[in-house]
Amino acid sequence: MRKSHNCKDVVSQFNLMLDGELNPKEEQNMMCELQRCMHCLQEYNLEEKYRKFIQERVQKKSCPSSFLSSLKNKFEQSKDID
Amino acid sequence: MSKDKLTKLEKDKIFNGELIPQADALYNFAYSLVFEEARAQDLVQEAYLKAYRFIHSFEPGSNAKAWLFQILKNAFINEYRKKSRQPQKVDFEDFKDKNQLEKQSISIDIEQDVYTHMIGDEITSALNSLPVDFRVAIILSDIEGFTYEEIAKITDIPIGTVRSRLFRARNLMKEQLREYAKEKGFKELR
Ligand SMILES: [Zn+2]
Repeated sequence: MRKSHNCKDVVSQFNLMLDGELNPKEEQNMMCELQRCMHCLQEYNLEEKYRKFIQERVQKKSCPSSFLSSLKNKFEQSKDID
Repeated sequence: MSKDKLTKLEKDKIFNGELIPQADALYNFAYSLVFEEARAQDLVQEAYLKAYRFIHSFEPGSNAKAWLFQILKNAFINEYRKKSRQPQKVDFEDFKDKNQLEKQSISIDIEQDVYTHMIGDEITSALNSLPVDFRVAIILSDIEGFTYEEIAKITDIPIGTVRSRLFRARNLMKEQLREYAKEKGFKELR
């Protein structure tokens, strides 16, 4: 028998799913649950888009190469940094 | 072979093979904490110095990235404590939110025109405007892809707190983005 659907629980569960914190069986249940409720499915699609958006659009700083090579040099030259 | 007695060659092999490849991610993390190149470099250098000193406690092939992030976070907190003149606590203490957490999550329709046209700069400023704990939560999870367990270790908070902090951080981020979108939409209307 299926549990009754609770939108609030589903939202917090699909966040766990998007964070990779559910096991495959739980994920499967979640996907079924999402098919049962338009509202939750919509929320899920939006959240998924938002995550992708953040991942793709936030700019990342790279380590300046001059700094990195001077850092490597420091370690190579040191006999022992203890 | 005792791990305490790694030769310089062995240390260097781990250092160059496993630790140095994390430099970009580590630097990005440092920069998002201090927003200054020189200070970010100091933090990264200090993290690498510590890592090298304690390299015998690192299991080769294990999670070098999480280990380095944890070291850098600690270096940041130490630096903050040393330099801070203000008695206020900023760092990784849990933010006591006033029952905001149970509120419905905020959805944003990213397909909204103004929102889609938001440029990387604006999104990055939105992220940078969040309080440090929330900024860090988003960086560690949404950008660097650490698990809750790793984030708990890096930031030294319980897993349940990681989960609630992330939820709140994302909602704050969405609010910020909506504000930016509104501003932009307003400008475009004129
Ligand atoms: Zn529902």
